[in-house]
Amino acid sequence: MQNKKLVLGSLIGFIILFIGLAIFYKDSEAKKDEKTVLGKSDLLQREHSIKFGENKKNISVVEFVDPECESCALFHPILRKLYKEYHEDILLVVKYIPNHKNSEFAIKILEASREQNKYEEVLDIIFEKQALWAQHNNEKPELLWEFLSIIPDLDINKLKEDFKNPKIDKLIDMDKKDSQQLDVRGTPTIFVNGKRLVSLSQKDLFDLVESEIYK
Amino acid sequence: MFFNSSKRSNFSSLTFIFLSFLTSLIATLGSLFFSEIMNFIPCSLCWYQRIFMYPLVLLFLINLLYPDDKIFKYSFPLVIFGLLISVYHNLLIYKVIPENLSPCVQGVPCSVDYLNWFGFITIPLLSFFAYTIIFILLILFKRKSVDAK
Repeated sequence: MQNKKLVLGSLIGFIILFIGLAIFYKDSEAKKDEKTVLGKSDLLQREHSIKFGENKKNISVVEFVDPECESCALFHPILRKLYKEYHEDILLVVKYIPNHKNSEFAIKILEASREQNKYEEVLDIIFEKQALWAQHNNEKPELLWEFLSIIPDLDINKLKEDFKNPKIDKLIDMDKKDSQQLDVRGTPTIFVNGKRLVSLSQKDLFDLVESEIYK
Repeated sequence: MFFNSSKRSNFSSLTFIFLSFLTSLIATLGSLFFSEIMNFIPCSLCWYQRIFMYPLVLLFLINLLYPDDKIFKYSFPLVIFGLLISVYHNLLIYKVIPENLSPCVQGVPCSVDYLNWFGFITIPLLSFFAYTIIFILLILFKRKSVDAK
């Protein structure tokens, strides 16, 4: 009996030690991260990035997004909800990390749509139809043109023209460099006033934003 | 020694299994800490070493809770394969074998070392230590139980 207690005791002891160290490490990393991001907060709000919201309470919500990333598509409705509720208070900024094969293709369409003020509609379609055009090992990004043609008043020919604008390549490049500097590797990554959203849940996002609003 | 079991041919040999258990447990939790908490991406060779290390925790644990003297049979092959892979990995790290021979095609190249304690301790070296310790402990265990018979 004695030895079984010792075995189980050491097993539980090490697991507790593991959890303790994990919490400690995460906590100290979060603090360090907050400091570095604070020092580089100008990278989060570049002039070239698209921004939404009236920003009356001066709260920036910056999202690093990849149109081809599944989690981003899943998280998109949550951000929409946040924006619907707090669009008066916040400034929503979208930045890109092209982590997948056709990410750049989709980002270029998105950025081109800004010329026609159709960004939100295009983003909705891109995420809504993601399963169709971004199937892994069977990507068909050119399908996007067809999907987008259902948006009323969107001039596809103009979109295709704006799509080639070298300005967009520069923008993607700059966002990529910003993400490296801020140590953002995955998408979606969200910063609320420079604080990184740790777990991607609706509750955590709203809590973080609300804690900034009612500070 | 602190172990006592009637089903054992040799009581003190359990200590070796207990120490092996602790080593594999620390190696398992440590590797999980690197990948899940510190977000280091394990390379493919690291994964193979994990595959042979993780079951050892359970094998040793069950043997300690329900002792019999056949644990060597089941655990030693795992240790041998893990040890061989870790030797290969360390040879890669120390550039004895050139990187282009390594099977790491995607993701993280196997010759990248994430951590460097005191200038020489890398994660693959820690893996090598863990496998070597368990290897030696199991040999000692086997000897003891053979002697006892």
